[in-house]
Amino acid sequence: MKKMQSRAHIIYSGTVQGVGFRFTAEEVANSLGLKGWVKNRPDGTVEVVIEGEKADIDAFMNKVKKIMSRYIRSAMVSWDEATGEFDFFSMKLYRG
Amino acid sequence: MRYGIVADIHGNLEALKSTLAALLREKIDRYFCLGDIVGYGANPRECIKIIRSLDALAVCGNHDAACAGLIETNYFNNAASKAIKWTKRNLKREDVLFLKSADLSYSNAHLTLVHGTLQDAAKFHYMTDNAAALGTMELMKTNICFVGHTHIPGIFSLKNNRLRYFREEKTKISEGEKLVVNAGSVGQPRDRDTRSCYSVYDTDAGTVELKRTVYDVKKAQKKILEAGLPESFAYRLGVGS
Repeated sequence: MKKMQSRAHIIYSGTVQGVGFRFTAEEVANSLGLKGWVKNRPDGTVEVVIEGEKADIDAFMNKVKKIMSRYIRSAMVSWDEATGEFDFFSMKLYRG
Repeated sequence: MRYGIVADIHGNLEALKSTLAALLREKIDRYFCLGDIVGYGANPRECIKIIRSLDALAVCGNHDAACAGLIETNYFNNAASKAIKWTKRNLKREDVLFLKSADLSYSNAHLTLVHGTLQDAAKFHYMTDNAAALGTMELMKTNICFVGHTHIPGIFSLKNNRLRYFREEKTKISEGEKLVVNAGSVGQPRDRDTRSCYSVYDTDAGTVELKRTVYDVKKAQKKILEAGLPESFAYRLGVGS
């Protein structure tokens, strides 16, 4: 039986832009088979929308936190059911 | 500030990813690219995307300029010219716009960047001898300038009217010293070392490091051959030349 799919909306604060955050998020998400996107926001935060099994999303957050610990001040997470709208995980290059 | 400085990626995605993985452990505050993101390798678009994602300040290399249509391809040898034509076919408009947006040189309070030499930067001369180094040092407004282009890491140092060239992994900058640092090449090293090369400049500690990291050379070679790019580009990755 297919496991329940979740969706997490994460806002990372700190010195998170221009330090390889989106590259790291994309690499980690792809290694876990997760789908969604990551982008820089005009206020200096990084936003992630990610879908997959909850355990994998937890693993994503733990890995990103470990690699980028020096740059992350806080991570605000909200959970929902997955929409299935994504085919892969992508890095958005434009702010907004 | 700790600056992560990469040069001459040349479309080698495997090398760039390994280099970034290494740099992520270096507590970098800001990234710089010394040009030639594209040319030779099979993943120019992906490499541009990563450099853009770092918000890295990139100066223009000769391959970037050719692929963006800013200079003629007759400047290059046959194989390089073939790679430029292949790269041009495979870039999208946004990639070309990014390459076109790069300046020939850059300076801030801490450093200067140029692909070749500061003198006649648009001619992409090679920083290969004392005369070239002294010419650039005369034009530098900072005490350190990072260059690429030769794919060979090394440092020219001028202090008390004495110019010397050396290749040390870590250099402490002394008072009154001027340095021209060649950061080597991420994607096509030519110093008989196949590992990717990059530099870390710590402005607080006053140190410059030239570092190496291994990457999946075979995968990068396979991609070059599958893309129909000249075989010599795959071969040279395996020998570091």
